[in-house]
Amino acid sequence: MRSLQLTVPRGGLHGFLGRNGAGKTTTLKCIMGLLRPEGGQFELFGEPYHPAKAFKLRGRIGYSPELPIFPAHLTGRRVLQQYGRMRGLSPAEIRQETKYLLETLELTGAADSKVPTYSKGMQAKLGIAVAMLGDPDLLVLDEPTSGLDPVAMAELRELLRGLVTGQNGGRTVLLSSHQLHEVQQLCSSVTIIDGGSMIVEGPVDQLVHMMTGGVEVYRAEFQSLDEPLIADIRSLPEVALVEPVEASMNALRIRLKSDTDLRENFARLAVAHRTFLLSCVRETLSVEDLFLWFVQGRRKAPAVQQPIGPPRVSPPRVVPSPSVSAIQQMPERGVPLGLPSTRAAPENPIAPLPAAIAPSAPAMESPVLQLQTEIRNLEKALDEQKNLLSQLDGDLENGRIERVRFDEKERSGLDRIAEIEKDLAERRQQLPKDTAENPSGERYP
Amino acid sequence: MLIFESRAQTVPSTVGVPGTMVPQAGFPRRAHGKRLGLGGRLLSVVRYEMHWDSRKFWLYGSIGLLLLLFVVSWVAALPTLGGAPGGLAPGSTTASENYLRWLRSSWWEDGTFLLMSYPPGFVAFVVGEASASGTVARERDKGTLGALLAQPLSRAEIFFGKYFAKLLVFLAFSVAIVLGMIVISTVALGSQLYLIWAPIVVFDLTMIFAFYAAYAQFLSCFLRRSRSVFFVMVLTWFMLFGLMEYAAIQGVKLLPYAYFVPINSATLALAGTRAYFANPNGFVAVSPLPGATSIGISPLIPFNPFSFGTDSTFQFALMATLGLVLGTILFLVLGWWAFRRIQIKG
Repeated sequence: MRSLQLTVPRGGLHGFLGRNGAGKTTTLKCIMGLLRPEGGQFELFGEPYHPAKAFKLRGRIGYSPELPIFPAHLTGRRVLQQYGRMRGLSPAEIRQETKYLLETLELTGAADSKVPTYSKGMQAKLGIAVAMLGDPDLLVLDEPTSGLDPVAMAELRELLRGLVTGQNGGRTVLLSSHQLHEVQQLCSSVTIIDGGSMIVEGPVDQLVHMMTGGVEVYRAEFQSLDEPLIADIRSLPEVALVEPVEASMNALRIRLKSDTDLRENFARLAVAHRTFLLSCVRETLSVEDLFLWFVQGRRKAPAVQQPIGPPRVSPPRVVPSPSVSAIQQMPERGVPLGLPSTRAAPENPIAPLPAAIAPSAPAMESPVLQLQTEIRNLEKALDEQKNLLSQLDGDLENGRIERVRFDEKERSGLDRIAEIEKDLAERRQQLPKDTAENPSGERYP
Repeated sequence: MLIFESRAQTVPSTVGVPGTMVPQAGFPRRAHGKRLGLGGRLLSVVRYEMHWDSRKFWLYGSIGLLLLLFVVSWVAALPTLGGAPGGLAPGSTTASENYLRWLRSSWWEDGTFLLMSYPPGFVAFVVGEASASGTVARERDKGTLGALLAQPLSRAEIFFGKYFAKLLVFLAFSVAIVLGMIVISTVALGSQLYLIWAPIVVFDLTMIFAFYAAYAQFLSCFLRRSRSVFFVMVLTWFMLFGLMEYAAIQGVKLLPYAYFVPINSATLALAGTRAYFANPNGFVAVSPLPGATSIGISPLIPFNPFSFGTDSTFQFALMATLGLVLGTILFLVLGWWAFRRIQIKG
């Protein structure tokens, strides 16, 4: 971890987003004193954190790891009793809490069964129940819905909402997850980290505004598209940018300069060009869009041509839309669209978004494109291998795999990673120098 | 910098939406639990640990059974040493006869000296290693340590709470062993005197347990797997035992090193304490060990390997006890140093 500044507002659900290995769990473990940070400082409940005294503050924090593991000889009820005692609950309070949490998390039926007989989802629920013992002010949940079935996930989301809302609310939940839809449904603010550093933080609304500049984006699908129609749409005074939708030949993403409803205008223009407007929907940005944009630089979000944020960036510039032929020649996901830089975002999270499609965009030679595609695939394979290894570690810790088998798998995984890294290095070397710094083919703004 | 601040924020809410389980007013606030004192926190860990240990009926049962078998066979073998327990042939002078005479003529503790020095020592060791070796390593092994460390307890409380839990178990074992000794020696050798020393024997046995528990917990903090701890401890015991036997055979004087060999130290502490209380003036220039008599420590080792020279009985007691206490403290400090540095990764 480095350069992490995480501020969790009191009272509410705060999402903590990042890819696998981004440092989410590490951060949460540092907060809980399970890992010792090498440097830095942080405050808990407004008090400076001292490792020697942190245990006192832990009485106000409930923590549920991604894979909660409890002593195998205990039943679910016993687990709550044992940890409840450590949290200072009296016997009567322990009885009440146990009953309440078992009922709330629907574990009553399995309360007197040993923990190893629990399904993964039940163990996750038990972990959350333990975290909720004593009604802590701050709940730190690491991937709480991991292993839960859809019904249980929905119930848990309701439970978490209930903890922070209403006149009895006021609790704070720090929710680490890469389940973006879950974060979107629950959290009002998020922190996105990558590679151990914070990329962006703030209320979801503000981050969305940061991306879009606060204006509307429509996705319009026509029966057919031609260049004059695109030119006419672009000539409308309220239209800031028109760009093709990657997955569809006859759809346009249209960004407006202001919050105006132009659907009727689009329909009329379509008729004038002897075609039909099949659909025109307002695009809603999701946390997933935010995440992809800020972390991966793969923009699902609407393209934005003009700078966003304070006027420290260059003034807006409207780039002519591409020709229909250009659109038709474009592969579904292949052509570089001038994606934002993954690394540029942390330094200047409100930097101008890149151009969508500019006629002046340098055309890539096909061998280079092929190399870039291979590099992307290799990078993806590398990530997958690393994920598999980290899962393997978890399996070993949970006793789901024997040591000998683990060693074999780990060895083959490491060999595979070495092979991929070697291939990756070779291909990166083969790239022309002007693209070598950006091997994924992304064009920096 | 991580900050949990007091800025309020709004939350996307489905409160009150039909079909949701969230009450309109949110979930009510519940009991927070009071801040426990040091004793309460330690006790919670002790109970947690003892509850875990209480599941090991098979372990303690097997140890008890082994001990019983040993004692029964030992008592059954007594007549072969030179006569029936009822009496010796007058004028018998063979080593085995002398040994049996010594057993009978001495006070009850002498009669069970071997029980004291080896079998209970071994039992203490086995119980200590099997139980204490798991205190930390088994939690790391099974992945439960993270849940424990996330509780509002300091690492010192967890570490020493676990250790105290072992001590309580060991104390119970010591009492059981001494009671067993009294019963067995009474049955086998007739009525016994000096039962007033029973608490001292309990104390000494607990000291052995405490030492082994500290050693086991020290290893437990360094090694990730409880099996590894068990293996290292068995190895240690055989090394110590082998060293003692080798020294005895070679006639090497073990002092002052014997003070730091736990089994010997406890025996010395016991003997020295007994002699001191028997003669409060102390400084008796006679070795307190039964083995220091002309009979020898046992029929198998016909000389006394622990020749204490001019040491006084009080010094024996003091030094031996000090050896145990220092060893216990040393391993507790080292174990605590290692425990503080444990990080829950992965």
